[in-house]
Amino acid sequence: MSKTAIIIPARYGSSRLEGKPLIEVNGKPIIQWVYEKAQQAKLADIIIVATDDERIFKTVKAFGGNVEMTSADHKCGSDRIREVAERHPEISYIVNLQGDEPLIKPESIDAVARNVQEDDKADISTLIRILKDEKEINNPNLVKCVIDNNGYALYFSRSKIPYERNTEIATFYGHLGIYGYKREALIKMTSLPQTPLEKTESLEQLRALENGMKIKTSIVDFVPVGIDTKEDLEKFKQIIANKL
Amino acid sequence: MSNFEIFIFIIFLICFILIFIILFSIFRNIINGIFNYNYKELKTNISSKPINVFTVRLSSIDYLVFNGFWVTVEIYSDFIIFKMFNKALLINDLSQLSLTGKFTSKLVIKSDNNKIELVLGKKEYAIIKDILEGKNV
Repeated sequence: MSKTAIIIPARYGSSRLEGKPLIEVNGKPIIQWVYEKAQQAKLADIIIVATDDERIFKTVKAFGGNVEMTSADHKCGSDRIREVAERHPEISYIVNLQGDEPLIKPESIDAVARNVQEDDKADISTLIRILKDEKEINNPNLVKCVIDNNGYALYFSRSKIPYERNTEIATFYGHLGIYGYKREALIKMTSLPQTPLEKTESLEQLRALENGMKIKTSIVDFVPVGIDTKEDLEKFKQIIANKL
Repeated sequence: MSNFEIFIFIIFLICFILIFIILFSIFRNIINGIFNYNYKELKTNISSKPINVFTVRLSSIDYLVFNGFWVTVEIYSDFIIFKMFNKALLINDLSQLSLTGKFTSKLVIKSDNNKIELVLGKKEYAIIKDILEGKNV
């Protein structure tokens, strides 16, 4: 009976790209691109777009998607997801898929879902990828992650971690902003106050680590194209054009 | 009682038991198919308390009459749980519910391809009516 849901939080307002979920690429709004990727994932039973915006609600309804209105007062996507999860007691596992990740691979969504479904120790799961480019490694907007031998996250940082005393063995992992949660972990995490490291680095996932929760990671080999700026949008359009 | 009469009696008994087993299996499959969640498991995922709880009589499932069975209705702010034995039917979408009218006082639940009818008392009818009119949710 334990159902797995992909919840896609979608806001209209964005500091760098206003109304991005509704921007059309090849005749489809970005939110529909993301929704269709979610539909291709095999381990999800339900897909729900969570939004506080009427325009997004109507757009998702128009393409036949499942959408729910949420409070406009949420400070972050996790709170919005929790609100939806609490309306659905049948959901035991939740994947938080960002509404601006139209090129996410369905297998990656499944990897995130599988980690919380099958690993009893994992409260949360996420994806990481190996970084090779020095520019990326030193970019504070690209969050780095260090993991233990079993793939559990030890720490996330905007700094370059680990420090490379021995350059030949150092591996750098970049974090991808997709999360899987066990239901109780989502409720717990969103109930906890912000923690010192979370505030220092401005990284919500550190709240979980600082409270002893386990974050399981899976390594993927693709470079995500999250759409935050006009340049990202152009890049996405180009990728789509090349595929057609 | 002659041997023949005992033989007939045994045949009747076996037929009766077989019919009972078949009917019980059909009933169990129907109930499990419609009330498709384990009630206890579902309850562990709910942190809030129900706004209202009452018990009503099951009238029919599709075209089969099911008199004599009771269903517990638990109303929460965002969903309703219908409990029968240890199984539960979860309704998130209120458009799946309708009332048949003042005189018949039945609640009709449309879930997947099934139609379940529950007989409501006056008080329960009013509660459900308020919910469907958006007064109580």
